[in-house]
Amino acid sequence: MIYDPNPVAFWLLAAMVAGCALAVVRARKLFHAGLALVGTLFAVAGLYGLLQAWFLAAVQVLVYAGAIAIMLLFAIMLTHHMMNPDLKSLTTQPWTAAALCLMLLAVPLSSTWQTAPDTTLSPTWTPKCGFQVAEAVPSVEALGFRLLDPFTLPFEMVSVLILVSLIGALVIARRDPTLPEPPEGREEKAP
Amino acid sequence: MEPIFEQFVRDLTGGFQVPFWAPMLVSLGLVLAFIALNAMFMIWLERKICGRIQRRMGPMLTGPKAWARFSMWTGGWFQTPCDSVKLLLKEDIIPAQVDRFGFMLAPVLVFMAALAVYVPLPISSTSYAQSAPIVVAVADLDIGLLYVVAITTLTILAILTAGWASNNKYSLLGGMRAGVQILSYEIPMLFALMGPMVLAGSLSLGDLVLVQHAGLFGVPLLGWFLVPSFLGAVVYLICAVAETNRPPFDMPEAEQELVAGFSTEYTAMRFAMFYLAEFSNTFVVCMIFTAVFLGGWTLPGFIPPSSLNLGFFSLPYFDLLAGMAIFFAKAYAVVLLLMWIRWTFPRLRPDHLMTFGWKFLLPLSFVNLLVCIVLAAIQQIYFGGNPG
Repeated sequence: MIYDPNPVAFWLLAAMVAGCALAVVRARKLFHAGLALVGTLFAVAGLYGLLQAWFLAAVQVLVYAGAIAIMLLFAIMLTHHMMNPDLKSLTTQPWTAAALCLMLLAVPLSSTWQTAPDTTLSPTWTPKCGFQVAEAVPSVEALGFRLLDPFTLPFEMVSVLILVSLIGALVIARRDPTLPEPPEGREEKAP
Repeated sequence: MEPIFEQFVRDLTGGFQVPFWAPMLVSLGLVLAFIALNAMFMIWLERKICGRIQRRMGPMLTGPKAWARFSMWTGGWFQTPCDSVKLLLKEDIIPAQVDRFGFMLAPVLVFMAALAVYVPLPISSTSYAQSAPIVVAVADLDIGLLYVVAITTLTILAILTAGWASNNKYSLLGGMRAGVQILSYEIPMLFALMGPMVLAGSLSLGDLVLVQHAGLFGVPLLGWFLVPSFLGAVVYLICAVAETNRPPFDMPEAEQELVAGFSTEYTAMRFAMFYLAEFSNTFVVCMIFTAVFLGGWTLPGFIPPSSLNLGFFSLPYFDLLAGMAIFFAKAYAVVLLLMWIRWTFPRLRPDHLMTFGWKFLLPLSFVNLLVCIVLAAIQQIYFGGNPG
């Protein structure tokens, strides 16, 4: 059984991913770059949806486009001179960056080119999008069982990682006890 | 939606096969029409209830005079259609100093979020001319509940963009407040919804309703998740009010402090988008509450026939219509509750809001999750399988 993603939808989403990613690095205003980043993350979620990975798509929107990108926009909004379009970008080595990106791109491209199409799925069928997907609809239930049975250790290690970063944030945000107390009345209230 | 629509057209035309895009277009049109008409009705209702609570009558002058003489609840029917026409015809002003791209993008984004969230909401089910009962929704997604929560984050993005692009410190402050508020209330909301998820063993809103109809521990009345996950229902309702920026959580547009918050610079059509989206989102949270905690389109021990025989005429899709009537009656009961809350509580202070959300609601939702896990385990061990 083969599931064939709609090629029009695939190319539209792929163009959106690439276009928004380009806008992230080329936008003159930092806030626009942030918005374009959200667009990229959203389109990636769309690609997951196209491959019927619904859970992954929802989590991509919830965590990346939702929480992380919004935190990023918050940080941008708090910086000064945000409306100034003459603000110079920090990119001082565009060609080095381009070379590094091309190297990264080479990794998936080489694996795609070297692998012959998987004929175990279907010997006669030619994929329209350039890739083929077995129609094993991954349900949330199956994902849950996988996470708690064969992949318990990596799953738990990730939670330890999150705990470590939480404690790290606390340590950084904590006021240094050796420093003198700030003057009265200037203390920050809760947000 | 898809199989029912196809069946309906086949019955009506005698075998016409609809193209694959037709159900999508039809559901889009239905949802758009529903959002507009329902928002108009809700605005009228809100003003009437506000009037009743403040011992006045609300809008009374537009519409047939004879109706207005009858009682306060029959007067002023044409107020919101008139207001809508006014909003549509007003001049659309884009102030010179705003960031044009963001300013124009924000209302579109907020409406997109309001529209997209309707996709997995199940309003009824039918077994007419079907081998098995099917859930009526635009698409009953496998991850419905998660999808709804994920899409609401788009609203934060739109409000932040509106606040920043307006280039006005009141708008910016309003946008920031809205962002912080919605983001922090999303966490207890998700944990409050986790209780029903555990009890039902599914994320699909259609499945949640079916499990509730089947009942808990073999008792149908216990099945409504309002009972086993009562704390979750309360936490969800409070978070829902906060997420839709309704009073008492309307700090983002606190008039005395921030003019009108993020929507200060918006006029005419663009303002109408925000307004429409706000009322649409309010109704959506009520629909989610109905589907997740109040048993959706079902009543305990009541299964309507798939077609009603009236002797001379047989009404097809009767279970669909009955389910919809039950669903919307429940949803409107929740809407009335939200309106009652809105007009009787004073606005909170921003720091109180944060403390309340993080230090009170979040632990409460953890307790709820724990209770639900224990109940689900009891069901699993003594009654077999998921509840139902």
